[in-house]
Amino acid sequence: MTDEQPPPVRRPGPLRRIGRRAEPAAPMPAPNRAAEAQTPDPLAHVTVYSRTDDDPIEAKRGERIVAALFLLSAIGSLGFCAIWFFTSVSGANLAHLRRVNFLMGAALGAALCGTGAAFIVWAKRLMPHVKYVQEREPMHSTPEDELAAEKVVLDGATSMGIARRPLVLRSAGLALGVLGLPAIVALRDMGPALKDTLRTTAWTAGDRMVDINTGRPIMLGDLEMGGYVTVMPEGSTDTNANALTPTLLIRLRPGENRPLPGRESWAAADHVAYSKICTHAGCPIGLYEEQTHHMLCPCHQSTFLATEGAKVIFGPAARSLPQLPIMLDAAGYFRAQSPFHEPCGPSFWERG
Amino acid sequence: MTREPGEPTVTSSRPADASGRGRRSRRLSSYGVLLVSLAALGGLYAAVAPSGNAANRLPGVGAQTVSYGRQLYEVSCASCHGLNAEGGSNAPSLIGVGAAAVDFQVGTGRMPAATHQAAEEPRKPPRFSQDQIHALAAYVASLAPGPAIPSDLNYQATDPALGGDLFRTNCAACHNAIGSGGDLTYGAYAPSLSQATPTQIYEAMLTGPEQMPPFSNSQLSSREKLSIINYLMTTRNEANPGGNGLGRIGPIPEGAVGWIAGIGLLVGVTVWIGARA
Amino acid sequence: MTSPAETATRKTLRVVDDRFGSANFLRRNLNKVFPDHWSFMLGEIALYSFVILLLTGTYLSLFFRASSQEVFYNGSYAPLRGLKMSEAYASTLHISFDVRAGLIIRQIHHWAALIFVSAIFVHLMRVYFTGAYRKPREINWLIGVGLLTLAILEGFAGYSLPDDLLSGTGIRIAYSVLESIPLVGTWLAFFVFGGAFPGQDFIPRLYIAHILLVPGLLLALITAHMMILWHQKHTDFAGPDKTEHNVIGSTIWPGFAWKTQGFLFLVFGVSALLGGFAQINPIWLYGPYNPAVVSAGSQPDWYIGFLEGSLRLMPNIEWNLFGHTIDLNVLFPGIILPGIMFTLLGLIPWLERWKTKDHAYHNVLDRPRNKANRTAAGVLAIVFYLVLLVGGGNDVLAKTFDWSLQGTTWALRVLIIVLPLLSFYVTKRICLGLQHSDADLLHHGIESGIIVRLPSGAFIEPTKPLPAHRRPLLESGPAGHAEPAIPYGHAAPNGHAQPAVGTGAQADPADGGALSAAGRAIKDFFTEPASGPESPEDPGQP
Repeated sequence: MTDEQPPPVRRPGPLRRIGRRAEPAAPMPAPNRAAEAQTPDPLAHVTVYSRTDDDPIEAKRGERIVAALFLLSAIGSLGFCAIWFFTSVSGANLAHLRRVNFLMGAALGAALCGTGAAFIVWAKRLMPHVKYVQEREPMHSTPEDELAAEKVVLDGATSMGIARRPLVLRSAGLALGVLGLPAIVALRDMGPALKDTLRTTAWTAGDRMVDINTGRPIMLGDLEMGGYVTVMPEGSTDTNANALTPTLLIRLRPGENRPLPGRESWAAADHVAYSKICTHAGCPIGLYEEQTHHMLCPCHQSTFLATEGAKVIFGPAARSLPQLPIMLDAAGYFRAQSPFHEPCGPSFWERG
Repeated sequence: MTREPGEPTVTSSRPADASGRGRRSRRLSSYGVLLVSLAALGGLYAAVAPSGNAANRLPGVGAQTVSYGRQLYEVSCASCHGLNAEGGSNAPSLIGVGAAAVDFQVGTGRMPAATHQAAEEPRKPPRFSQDQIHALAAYVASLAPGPAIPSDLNYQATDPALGGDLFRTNCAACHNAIGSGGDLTYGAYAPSLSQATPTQIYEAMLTGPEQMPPFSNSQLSSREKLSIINYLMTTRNEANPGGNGLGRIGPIPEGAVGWIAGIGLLVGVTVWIGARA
Repeated sequence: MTSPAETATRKTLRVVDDRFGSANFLRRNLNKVFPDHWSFMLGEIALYSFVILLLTGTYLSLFFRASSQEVFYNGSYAPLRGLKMSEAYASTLHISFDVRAGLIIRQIHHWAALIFVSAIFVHLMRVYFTGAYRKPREINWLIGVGLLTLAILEGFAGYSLPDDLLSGTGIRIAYSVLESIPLVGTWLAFFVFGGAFPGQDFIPRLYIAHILLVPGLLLALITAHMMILWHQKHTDFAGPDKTEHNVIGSTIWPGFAWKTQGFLFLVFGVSALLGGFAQINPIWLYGPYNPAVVSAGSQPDWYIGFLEGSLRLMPNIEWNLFGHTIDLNVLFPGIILPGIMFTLLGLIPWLERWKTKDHAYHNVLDRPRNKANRTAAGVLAIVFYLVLLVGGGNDVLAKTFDWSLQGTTWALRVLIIVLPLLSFYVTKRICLGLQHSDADLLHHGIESGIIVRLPSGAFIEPTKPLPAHRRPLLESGPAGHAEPAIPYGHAAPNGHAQPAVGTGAQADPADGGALSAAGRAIKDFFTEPASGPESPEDPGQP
């Protein structure tokens, strides 16, 4: 007899028909209601703790309240549908839309609150007030069970042979360690490389300044003394594509401007230009006080002084606004002398 | 005048004239003296009174309005703005501000100022009647050329969407996107626009009161200004379709309502559910 | 005589059981007992408002277009007609004005979001102040903190999707906060936004996060949260016959199920009423987002307000190191401070264990007064948070009360240090005082109000002994002989804690209806009215 023996054949058990019980279901015992009430339930360790007798008059009243609430809910639901069917809305008639919105809210509110309150009143008034007590099973297993579980885990780990096969372990570590890299690398295309995008704006030397809304070029005399306007370079007025470019052109009164050393030529005819994008968190600074020359950012209240190079005088911004050197051309239009001399907008690591 | 019965009627009599010229010539000469003296007085007054260049008066405004305005000015404004509107330590010069600025400041009640040192003059019920404001404006306008009071503001014919766009770019940073006002530095503020009339809004844009920068007609054309006014009037008067507008302030009252009426109500419901009976 | 309904029910249950063997499962879980106190239902407000958000959000997603593509508005709202705006904004206008139930559903969605985050906070405070996060529930606490963080991010994403002026300003600030991270900030910002601000990719990516990724995470974590709670059973306050080893209350079926179902409808109903009566986020008044435009008085939704406040109150510190900039004025309030706050929040169970050396299981809740340090620390954290929240609206505050903007900011900068410390001290003193008065009650009884003069001349006030049903709660504190918590390492004492089963237990004393019942519930926050039998033995002895 060789060692080779055919594997033992397992014989199937008696045939079972799937979908129907093998034998007709045993007749279910009739429910014993009296016993059910007080019998402890060993499976859930639940027993009755206390019971309050029902008050039949209260119950009758409760029934009526519940029925009324359900009725209210039904009216609300149908009312909502009616409103929906018999109305049309448009942004041209906001008063009508307000009425429709109000009625829809009231109808939906009645529908939902009615059902909700009905269920709760039902539970509070129509159901018996029984309190149960349930035992808490300990949240940790018995020491025997803990040991048995640990044995299963450790036995499995041992049979995997991790400790005995360092080559397997190390190669698995290598594979799993780098398995996530393709996902991370594939996400690289989510965004372009930084390059100089944050350092540059659309301003180049000689660009004419145009009003950001109307596109009209600004010339000397357009601004009153104390006036200001938001400008973009002519030809690059799309703020979504050039979000760091918006610039404020301010007309100061004669003698008010106290330029920083080296920036005396950056103003033109008492006009100065500063980046509109706050150096704190990037909100546009639209707020200019013509008498105090404060430029206030409404987001976090950084305040800059327009007469002194837009230096910070209050608030969380740490850097003054970049100043754009401007000039007047022969026809009297304002133009940029050059791009900004520093990056506009909030600070970032590579800013320098 | 009734005549008592029995009273004789009195008729004029013509006394004899000794000079022989007769009554008529004497009356004529007395009229002439009157005329000459009036003319002399008027001319003297015109020469002496500092009413300025006649060309600077508002059209249709006579010297009386200007002089009435000057009287009002001397009583109510000169103490801060100077006897000749040259300004002082508390108040700026009014020379060149124009009738529009006066109409705005006095018409909204901001002037006469209640306090010297306030960072910002608030809107108050105006102290002067429309005629008096008119006179004050005429006087200030006569001092030097300046923006005139706008008339015929036909803003309904303009595009409110353009106005909204301009408003958000130029005005919302101070006045808030809906015009409910905003805070400025050190106690100043940009007021809510909910009470401003179209004329006042136009004048404010033109003259740039207090901290507000002026927007000349070459920066924002008259039509563009009217479109801004149209936008403000349209949104001011339109209903809140979502229900109660909560002051149209924004997320702050919304959060408060969410906490008080939302969670507050629901915690109350929770207590009700958990209560006995 | 069995009714047709009963027969049908039995038949259904058997049909299910034939396929799943579910009889025991059903019995065990439908019989599960949940304690009855109202404050245990606060988490359900959050759960149900999440359900509402899913339902209303699905409706909105049928109409919303998450695209930054620029279009000219040609819809029915005149003050915006002809303007250039993103499709996202235009579709939100369309939903609000031209879809019949659009505005109400949109408003219900936004109100439910506010309620969602508020409910999580209220639930968190209940769990914290009662010490329900202790062993074995630390992991559930951690999951809860994760849920809070995700809910806040989800809300931020949701209200930023319409791309209006107000929320767009918030996105701009978020971009700057990302930028401010040293080393990787700009790369991170470029990745998330697909380039420089604003780019075309952000709205579609935000949409996917808002309707798929974060709700998926929320759903998974909420399921885990509830399964753990189910398995570990709910905690409960001390009370007559309540021990560390039992839980007294109603079974899931039918009482609790009916109440909680009604609660779902009521939460939905309150949101619906708010949606109909109170306008929220009127984006048509703000206008479309433009990077060059901003509105005065820009605030985020309330649950982001503390971040806004920290950005406003932070002094302007920026460091330049070897050619690189660290803008602490954005980095600290935007990343570091919330990171610290939420990390500390998550670590609370372990921090408390480290401090108190208490490694025991706790199924019975503490009264806040009995843990003065914990309660005072919680109040300190809440006050700190509130000062930041108020700081987020400092400009509206200054304008409303006519204060100087700069003065308000400086005052808040001082208050953020002083007020939390002061409130810690005051809260601790109050807790200790309450503990003393509890000890007095326990040991001396209730003052009778009758003054008796003794023959010696002294005046005394006789006291009535405390009724038995009030003793357990007071005894659970330091003054009483509290039942020892189940220590770790020992098996729980065997045997069912069998309090005497009541026969004809006392009903509640005559009351004036639901309102006075609710009033009593609030007044006797921790005390249960006599609804259980007089326990013949001292509770706590097994």
